[in-house]
Amino acid sequence: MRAVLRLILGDPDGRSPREISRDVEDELSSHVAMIEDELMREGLDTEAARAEARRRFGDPDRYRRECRDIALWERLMLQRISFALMLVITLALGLAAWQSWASQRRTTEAVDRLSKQIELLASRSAAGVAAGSEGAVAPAGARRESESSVFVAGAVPRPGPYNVPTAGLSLRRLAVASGFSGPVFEARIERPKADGQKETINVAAAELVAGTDPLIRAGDLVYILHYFSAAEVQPNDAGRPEPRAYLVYASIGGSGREIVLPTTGRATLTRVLSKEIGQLPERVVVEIRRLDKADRLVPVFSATAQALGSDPLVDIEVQPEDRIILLENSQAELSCVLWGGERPKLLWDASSAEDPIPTLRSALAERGVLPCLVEEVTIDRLVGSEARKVEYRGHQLSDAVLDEPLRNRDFIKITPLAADTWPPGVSAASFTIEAPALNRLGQPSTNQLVGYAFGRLPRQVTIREAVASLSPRAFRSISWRNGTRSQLAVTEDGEAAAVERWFVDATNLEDPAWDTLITGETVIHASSLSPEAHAKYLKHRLVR
Amino acid sequence: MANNQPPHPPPPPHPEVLQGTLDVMILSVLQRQALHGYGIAREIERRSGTVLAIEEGSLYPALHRMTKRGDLTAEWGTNDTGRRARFYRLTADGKRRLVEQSGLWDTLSAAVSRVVHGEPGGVAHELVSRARASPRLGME
Repeated sequence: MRAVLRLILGDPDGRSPREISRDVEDELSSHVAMIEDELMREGLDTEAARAEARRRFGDPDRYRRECRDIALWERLMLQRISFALMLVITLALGLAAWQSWASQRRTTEAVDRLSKQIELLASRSAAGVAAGSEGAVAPAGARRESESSVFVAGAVPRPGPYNVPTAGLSLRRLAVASGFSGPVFEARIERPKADGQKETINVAAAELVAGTDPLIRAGDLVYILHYFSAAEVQPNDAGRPEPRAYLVYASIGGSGREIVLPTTGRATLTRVLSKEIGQLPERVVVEIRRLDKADRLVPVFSATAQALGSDPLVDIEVQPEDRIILLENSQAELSCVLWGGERPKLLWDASSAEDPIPTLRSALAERGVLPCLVEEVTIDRLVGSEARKVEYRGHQLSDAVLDEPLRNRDFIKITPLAADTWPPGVSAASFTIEAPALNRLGQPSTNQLVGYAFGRLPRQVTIREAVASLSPRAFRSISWRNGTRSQLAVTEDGEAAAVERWFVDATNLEDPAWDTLITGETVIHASSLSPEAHAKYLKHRLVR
Repeated sequence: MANNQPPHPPPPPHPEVLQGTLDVMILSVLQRQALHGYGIAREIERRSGTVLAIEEGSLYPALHRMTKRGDLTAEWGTNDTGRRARFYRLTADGKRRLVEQSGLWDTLSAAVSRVVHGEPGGVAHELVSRARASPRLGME
């Protein structure tokens, strides 16, 4: 090693340290002596010459030390590096030896432990321990004709060898025989093959629930991996609806969706979010609102994603029909969520001040339901920390109700009239609507709603009813056309004429044209007021 | 009769030898002959007109360092009075280093001089000075 270091650092001085010190000493002394000689030649006595020589030379100890260090620098470095390397190698060897010893000790302990377990199992077999309620299965000690042995291990109270009929035995019966009492478990079967290899069969809990129960044969090794308690298992019977909850995104993108909860295991919030979304930003707040006995949506849980991910105690089991609400932060507004058995939809992006403030009218328009076709509207509203449920039947949807601004965190559920209650032969209608509204900043904001199509209408519907989903006072005029057929209507200048397109003055509710019946393929267009007039109208409406 | 006073008056406060200039002085002194430490000190003193006086012990760390670097070789010998002394001689590397260091020193000392005396400097100034001095260009 020193040879290698010498190659790196250079060849040190060939003299020994003692020789170097002696040479330095001789050289410096010789210099001082020569100064003294010179001074004495010039007339100074010995003492004065010596003192002057010392003054001119400077500190001999310092220069002696410096010269020696220069000569021995490589040697000192070599010694220090060698020492450091030796120390590192010694420590590494010591660590390796310790690990080897520890590994050997662990192996010995494991072997001892296994030996004891085997002895215990053998003694149980010999004693003929009862095999549980399943009489067809007996521990291996009680072997009968036409029986052979399998070995059961894992999460069962009585692991060990068991006799099964040569025809085989179902996995479930074998599991019960080995002391397992849960409704569902997961297992792995290792089965020897003819070529000496092993075949591994994994049996998932869902397969057992669905009735798949593999046959265990002689020589199999059965591991019961783990099992679920009865409370954790909801059999997925045919015809039974899958348990569903709903994710509602506030201002973190998207509006929401339905999620299917797992039928086995616990559907904890952490698991559900991990499966459905993955990693959430830490600042996101997760809330759960749950239907209580009075069918009101009550807040039952709230935590930040950070707390949810880091503290196992901060979690909750998600139940069917839960609304899992993701908010950007604790101060974020959820706005109101449009419900109705479909995808949850935010009516108002709280992160955008330019979005119009939603009303029940715009909620109905968003769902494409005419107010005259509504059976019921339900609003789940939080007043402080109290959950309230506000319900309107279709006939209660007055203008005042329809124009009431919805509140932050409202859940609105709209139930339209069932299609089978509509009278036959009612024509279809469609709309194209430019519907201005007021945003949070009090500015007019165009909200274009396009293409409401209905297969049937329950009865003959007038223009007045059809545009009731809008707020007629917000529009300058409303026009419509019915294919190419002519129909009397009021034009913009107030004259009735047979034209292909008809207008009604939206600000004149007494206009008889409002009562014109719409027919199939009617297209209605609402032209908006000027922005100033519209803003004035909307402010008036909100104040009212 | 011996006296206790030095033959010369105490030297005036000598300018301290600039850091880094000792090496070039040693190399320069050893350019023509091999000398021991005492001889080097005397030669520096003589050449500087006794303006530069160094603490003579400080020569030795420099000499040993330069020997280690390969600029000098050293061997024991005897001086005129028969005292044993270590003689230093310039190597080929030392000669090359002397050329480099001398050039650097010329540039440095000229620059310091210009700074101290407030003279304009730089390459342009030097070229103009040379042009003015050149009779072919007819400039004064």
